[in-house]
Amino acid sequence: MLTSMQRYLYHHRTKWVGFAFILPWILSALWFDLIPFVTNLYLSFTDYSVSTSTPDWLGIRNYREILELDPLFTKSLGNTVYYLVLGVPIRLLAAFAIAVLLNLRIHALGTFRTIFYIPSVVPLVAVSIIFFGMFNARYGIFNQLLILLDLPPVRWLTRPEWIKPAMVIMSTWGFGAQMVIFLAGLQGIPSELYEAAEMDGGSYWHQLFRITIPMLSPVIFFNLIIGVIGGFQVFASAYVLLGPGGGPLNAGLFYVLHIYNNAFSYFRLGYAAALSVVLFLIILFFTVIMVRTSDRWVYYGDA
Amino acid sequence: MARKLTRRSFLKVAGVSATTLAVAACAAPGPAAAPAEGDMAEGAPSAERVEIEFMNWWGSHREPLMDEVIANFHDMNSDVQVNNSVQPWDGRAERAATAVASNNPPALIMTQRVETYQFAHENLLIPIDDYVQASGIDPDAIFYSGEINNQRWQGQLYSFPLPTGGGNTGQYFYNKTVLAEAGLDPETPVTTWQELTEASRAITQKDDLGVTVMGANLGGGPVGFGQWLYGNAGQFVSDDARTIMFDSPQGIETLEWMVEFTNEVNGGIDNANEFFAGTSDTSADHPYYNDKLGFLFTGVWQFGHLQATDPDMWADTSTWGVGQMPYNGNNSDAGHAGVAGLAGSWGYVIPASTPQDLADAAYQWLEFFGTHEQGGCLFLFNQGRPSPVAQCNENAAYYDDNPYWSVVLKSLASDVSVAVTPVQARINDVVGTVVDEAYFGQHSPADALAKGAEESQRILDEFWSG
Amino acid sequence: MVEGLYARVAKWTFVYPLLLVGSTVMLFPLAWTFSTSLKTAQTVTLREVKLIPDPVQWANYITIFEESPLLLYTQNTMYMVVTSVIGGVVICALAGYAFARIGFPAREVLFYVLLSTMMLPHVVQIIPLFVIFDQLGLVGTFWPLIIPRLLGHNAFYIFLMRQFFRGIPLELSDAARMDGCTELGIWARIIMPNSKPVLAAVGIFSIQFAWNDFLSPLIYLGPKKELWTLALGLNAQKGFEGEITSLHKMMVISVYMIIPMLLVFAFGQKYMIEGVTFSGMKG
Repeated sequence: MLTSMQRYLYHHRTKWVGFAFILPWILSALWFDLIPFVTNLYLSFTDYSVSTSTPDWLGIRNYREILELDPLFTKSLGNTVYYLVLGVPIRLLAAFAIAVLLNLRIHALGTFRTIFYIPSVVPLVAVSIIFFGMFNARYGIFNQLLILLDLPPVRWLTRPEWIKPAMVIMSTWGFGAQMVIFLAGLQGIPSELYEAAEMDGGSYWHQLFRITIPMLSPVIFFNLIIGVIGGFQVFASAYVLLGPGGGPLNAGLFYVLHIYNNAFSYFRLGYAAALSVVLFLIILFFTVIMVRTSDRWVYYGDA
Repeated sequence: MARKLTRRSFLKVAGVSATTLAVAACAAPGPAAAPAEGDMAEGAPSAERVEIEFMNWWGSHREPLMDEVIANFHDMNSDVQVNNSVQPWDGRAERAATAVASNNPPALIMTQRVETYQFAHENLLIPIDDYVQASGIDPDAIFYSGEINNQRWQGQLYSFPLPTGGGNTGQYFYNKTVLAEAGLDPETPVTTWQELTEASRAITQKDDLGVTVMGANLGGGPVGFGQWLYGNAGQFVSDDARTIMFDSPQGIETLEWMVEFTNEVNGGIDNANEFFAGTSDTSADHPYYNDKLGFLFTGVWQFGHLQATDPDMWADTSTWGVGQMPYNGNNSDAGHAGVAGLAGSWGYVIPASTPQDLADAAYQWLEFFGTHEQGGCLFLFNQGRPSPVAQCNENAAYYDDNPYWSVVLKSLASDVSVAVTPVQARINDVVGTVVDEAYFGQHSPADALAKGAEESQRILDEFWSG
Repeated sequence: MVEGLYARVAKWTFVYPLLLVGSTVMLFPLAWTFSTSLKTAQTVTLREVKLIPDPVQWANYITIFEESPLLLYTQNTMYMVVTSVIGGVVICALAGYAFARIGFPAREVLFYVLLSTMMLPHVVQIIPLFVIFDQLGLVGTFWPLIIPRLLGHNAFYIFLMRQFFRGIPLELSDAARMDGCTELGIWARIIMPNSKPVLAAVGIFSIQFAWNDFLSPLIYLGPKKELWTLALGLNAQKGFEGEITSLHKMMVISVYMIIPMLLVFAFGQKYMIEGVTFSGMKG
């Protein structure tokens, strides 16, 4: 074992080594993140369309328009938050629960895991078509089940109030990636911990809450952050299922759809850039809060 | 299957009827002259052959039709090689925007009218007026005036139109079987809103889950509203494209009728939309092909869809018919009217960064495709739909296949070209939202239109002042 | 370890039934995709739940190869995947290790930078990125799809690996360090061998995202049909204005695209097999 002093000295000696490890990423970030980011930051103060000539400087006019004149800014942000608050926890819980079950010693384990991952490999075009069929009020499987259970059928895609729940259902179905991450995380929990708990006569639920969840917290943290960052940017699935307008009464017009329409339907790339900078700041704010509060509940092996 | 007119027989018919006409005189040489020129050109060094990328979205069953037209062009123009670059539909706008911004763009890009205006306004396109003048073409003599004007922005021409920007809303399709089953006379199509409402009441049937047989769906969005607005002698925007006019009394009356009809006859907008959910007029399960829909309000592309999707129905012309768009019978100023160029209205533009030789070649192909009888005319004829080149629609073969062809031509003549600006896409979305709000009862039609007009006017003012 | 009776009962009364119900829910859309792929132009519809088509048109799976150059698209897609994925995973693993275990100046700030690269919506990056590759003259080649992946331009993977690497006991790397291993040596001898589950996960994800990616290939390979990928070939089945004229053919291509990814997953998930014992479940 090294003492903390030895570790400090070691790291001090090798402090530039870390940069070598992340050098390729830094190059990629400079080219493929920094350039687009700075470009967008600059464009957000202009009236840039797609032209090659220099755009006019507008100062903060785009930002004022967002806050003062654009009814779809609040609408789309509200839709996005609704989707996020409902969708992220459901998806996380479903992925976690299934991952725990699929980490047991059971028959046909590989088959079950593959089945639960299937939805994640279906191309999005096909997913949207399938769900279009399943959400049909008359012929779709969801309403046929509801009728079977003696519940009133629902207009999934034609009533504004059902659009977002429908989107949550569709996205929950594709929880495979989170499930795989949880599964991978479950492998890292040393089995001695469970054996020790067993000696003490701890129940399964006791083990789940005292060992599995704390030991899995770095992965839960990861999935939460990614879920929130991704949830704010929900786009492709909504676009293919609802179209750029987001369905009736813009009920499924999510924030990035609004950006998309400004960028590629109106070619107001300056305004779209301003919208995206605002979204960037919103996401950054929540991410910093989550990272800052994470040391209260996330346990790392190297802590 | 009545329509199996080959290209050759079409050309025979077309050749006879078109020889004395402007299109034949102005465009590239007709079929008889073509081989001669082809032979001559073959003598020229083949290294001169210019290759251009023609980026378009005529995919699926239209791709072979386009290939045929390109082959015709190659027969007559051995100096230009056109590569038919059909792109996947999804991501179309991103693809077009990046292509136009590229250092090395395709020589010809298919764009919607509003996109053409947007790109033209940003000086990203080459106007074709000089080319047109050099080739001695008089576009106003060849094309319907609404059609060619849809491709002009601030006095400059950027493309020839194709397909028709009009013909989207001027006519409707009806299903005679459905009408007969409801006890209506299938040979007397409706001409007014009032007749349409009455007929739909007789046809529409509902059960617990919604509509099972529908008279008509009036549609929503800017085009849905716009098509009825012009049938009430209303106007979307002033002819100089500076003043929003859809919130006029005619506009309010139109939207009130649409909402009332939808609520009363169809049981609400969600009922109406759900009836069509999961299907489209290119799939065999669409209610219209299955005798579940009385009136279908759609564009002339429906002829091609009918041929491809339900050939039996297309062949049996006693099962379907075409009428001119109904108008408000209570308004003495109103009459049949179609709307052109409010949305869609495709053209083919040459990006500004295209090198001279490629731009020349692109125009050469555009001229053939836009004006020649073996170009766009044939492409549209093969889909059973009219051409923006008026003369091509006189082809007798159209009448042989389609007993309603004269109605189609009348409806094309009734088309009004709406004046639009590069910001029309935004205005369209505003109108789509307020029409939705009226349908869902969030605002009265009058309030919804007032709100939409205020926002649209702000967008327009900002554009004209900028 | 011998399973207790209670655990076995719990498995058969609770776990298996739950997994079977869940599997049905997960499998239904796939079954539906497959059955749709066997329908004909006249029987194909979204407006009916009919899992056994009548007639069953197996020929769809033959004719699609005549109508669409799927083999060429497969070859291109595989080329793109193979050239970018392996290198990309290694680069991400190196960066993830540095963020997890190597102290270097501004590491915290750079970690926030890493996270923040996921926060700017892709739609506003399309044009700036296109301009970069256009100026480099790389539009119409695979490079714009390969270079970013090879450079580890994926915060998701780097962040994911960092989370896992931090869970590996420090004692292991300390021991290696005392044996004179460099950071690279520790990474290669200690971290990588102990990270098979997460490497498998990142491998699966990156293969699959590259396989199904649509928008970037569209923008960079659009003009060159000879370079098209399967995702483009699938989407090209849509007609003008997105009209779907041959749903069954789209579903044939979808099934064709799904199967290899299922094989990749079935292979990769074997590295996540240290199943936790169930015997602790004692009420």
